[in-house]
Amino acid sequence: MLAIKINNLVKKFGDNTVLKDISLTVENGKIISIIGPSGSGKSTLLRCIANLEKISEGDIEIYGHSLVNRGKYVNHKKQRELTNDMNMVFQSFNLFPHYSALDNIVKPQMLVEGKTRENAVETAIRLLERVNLSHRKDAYPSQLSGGESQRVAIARSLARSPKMILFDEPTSALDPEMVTEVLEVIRGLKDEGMTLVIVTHEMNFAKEISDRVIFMDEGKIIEDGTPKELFENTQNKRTADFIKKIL
Amino acid sequence: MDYYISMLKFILEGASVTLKIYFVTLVISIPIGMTLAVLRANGNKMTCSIIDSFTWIIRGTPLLLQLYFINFGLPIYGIAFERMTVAYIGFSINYSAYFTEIFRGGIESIDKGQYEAAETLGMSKTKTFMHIILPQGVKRVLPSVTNETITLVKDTALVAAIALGDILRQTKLIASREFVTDPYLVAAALYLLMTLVVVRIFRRIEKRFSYFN
Repeated sequence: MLAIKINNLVKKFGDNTVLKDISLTVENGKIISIIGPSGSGKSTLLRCIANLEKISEGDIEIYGHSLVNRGKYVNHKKQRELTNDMNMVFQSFNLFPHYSALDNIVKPQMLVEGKTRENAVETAIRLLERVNLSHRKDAYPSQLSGGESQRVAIARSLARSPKMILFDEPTSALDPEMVTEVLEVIRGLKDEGMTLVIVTHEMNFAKEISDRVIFMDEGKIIEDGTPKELFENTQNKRTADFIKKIL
Repeated sequence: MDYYISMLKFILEGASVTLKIYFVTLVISIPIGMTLAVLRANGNKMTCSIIDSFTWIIRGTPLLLQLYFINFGLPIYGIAFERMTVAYIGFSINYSAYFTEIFRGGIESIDKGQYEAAETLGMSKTKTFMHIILPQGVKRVLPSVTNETITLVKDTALVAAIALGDILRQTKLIASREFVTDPYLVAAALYLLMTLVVVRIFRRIEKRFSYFN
């Protein structure tokens, strides 16, 4: 089963075409990394999948249901339904500053799913334990380190029990010593059969965790293959140059 | 001694006019300002330009002119109000415009990422606004709202121009009748006292919001 199917996607900001004829499929339960130089359109692609940006042309299907067909979106309610199983983790965490770490995870469950506070807290505590932050449950986002914030953000996503999580450079805003703790949490998701699409600059991590790696440059997919194909045997000069530069 | 008591009584009569205008204005203009700010943030082009014109006209002309217009201008067209009502209407419209802009600034200062996080978690627009945007927005605008409510304490003195006996007008009457200056000091003390209360109240509210950054 395909989690995501994209055909001939074009995304323009005014006159500027940032995604040019992207076609891509993501199978359910797989982990896909998207790499490439900054400005290559990889974050924009992820945001289009998350329905935070509207595409200009092309199709997107989520779990077999059309979100947008030839540039025409389904109605708002349907869009909500389709993106309900999908969650995004942001580079800048985007925690809610007026809620404690615990409430960041509790409130969305209550507000969206109508869970009781008791129920939501139970889930939240379990998830905080999982990201090793139960001792920080009462801290506010301004008191958390970057690594802690991102782990709370991941727990907040997991609380909505998504089938798919999109990670938009989850470690780019972190100090080097905090990258590992976040990657460790993402690694843990691999074993649960969740579909993950990760935009990242952590090449070693992408190489190790991904089922497939996609290399993008100038708004196009240049190469799409297994980590081995891309990192060790690429036939493409642009991919080779990029990997050489960054590794 | 008798003089002081009668003077104080006279000025305090004015204080009741001042306080009435003060509270009615706040009770009406804060909710209107908040509503217009929300409409301004979520409305279509038409709504936005209507609201923008409203705040431009009201903030761009003197409050005194607006009071004159309602009190002396409108009766020419057969629309006449009691003077207290004129004050309520004039002040409420004027302060609504200022509060609209203050709240709008607060709403717009919230990072786009907050909306996106709420959306990706599946929150509806209304819930996002009520639970995520509004509490953060209110905290940000508190200092400006404090300022505005302090300004209102003193702006109420403008109603003397439509012959309402507020603190300042009563003070001036008694001061010129008795040919003394101490009523002015009493009036100043009253204004300072009111301002102090406002400041204290808002400090308390700000403290309640200080648990997050």
